[in-house]
Amino acid sequence: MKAFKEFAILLGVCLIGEVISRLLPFPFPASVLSMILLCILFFTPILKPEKIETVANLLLGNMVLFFIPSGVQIIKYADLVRDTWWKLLIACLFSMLLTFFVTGEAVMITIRLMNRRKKNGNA
Amino acid sequence: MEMLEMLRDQVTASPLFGVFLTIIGYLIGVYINKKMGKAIFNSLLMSFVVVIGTLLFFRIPIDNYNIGGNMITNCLAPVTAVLAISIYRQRQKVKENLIPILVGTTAGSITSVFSMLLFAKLFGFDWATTASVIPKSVTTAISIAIADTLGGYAAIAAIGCVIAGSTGNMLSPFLIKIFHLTDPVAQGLAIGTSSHALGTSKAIEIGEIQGAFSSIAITFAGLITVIITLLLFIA
Repeated sequence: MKAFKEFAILLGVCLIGEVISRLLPFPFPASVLSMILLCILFFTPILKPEKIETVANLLLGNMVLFFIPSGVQIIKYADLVRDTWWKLLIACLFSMLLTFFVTGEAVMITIRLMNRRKKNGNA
Repeated sequence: MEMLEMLRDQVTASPLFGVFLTIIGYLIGVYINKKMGKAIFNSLLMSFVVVIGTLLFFRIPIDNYNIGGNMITNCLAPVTAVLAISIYRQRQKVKENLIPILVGTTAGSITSVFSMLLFAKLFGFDWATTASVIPKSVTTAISIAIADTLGGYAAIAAIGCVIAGSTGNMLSPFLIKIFHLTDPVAQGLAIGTSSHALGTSKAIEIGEIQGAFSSIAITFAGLITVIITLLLFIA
């Protein structure tokens, strides 16, 4: 009972997200919109996270399951993958390295600047 | 032999078949990952191998699998939505470090999108392939949604996420050293922004702060990447 009640609440929020996404003048992923909507609701008294905790933990803990059918469609693109798999591998690997480096450096610099400002403020 | 083929066609024509095979593939994938414990044997990749292997071995048409498989894919929206709970749970840390989080995940996401565009151009990818791998550093749920919006293939998007995620998982302890990332907040944000949930499992092993900030980065990078792609390609 409890799990289904939670699931109904979650699906209700997702349906609202989907409607909003369709009304927007530009394409915005409905699932991401539902995530934003849910997050906003958590900070209001309307919906506390405890109200959907059981289902949320089940889904978050087993997210991978839901990606499998999408990934399996790769069978349909066998020809494309046969020719480009090494390019995909290199592109994704090096882009990941760059992203890692830039994120890390940006955070280090920001923290350093903020600390300096704090020190100057105190002095 | 003919009897067996008939039996196969009967079994796989049911919508339950796709759901059943996906769950079995997932369970075996998680089991292999636990036994081997290496990033290359991550549960997503292993599940792909089990399900695709089964389909190819028994010559099961992908359309038969998809009847049930689509039912699971349709649940991606609520799965993505519940990511909100992880932001809410970390709200104290988010509030205290909002500026470094925003600066880091924004800079990282911009780098990710533009470097992918550059590589796509270099390798001569067509638009559909490019659109599929542009969001490769964000969590698979959001990545599939972005690829979909841009006109890419969900399948290639998922593969891109597996590559970025598993290499990030394997390399992050080494990258932290060579890039001299001494701050644990910077380490966590770098891992989560570049290699989403697969990287985060390594961040949790490195330390509690790293794990928390890596999971915070997943949702922030996801959201920011949606906005970047929207501004770049739709507006």
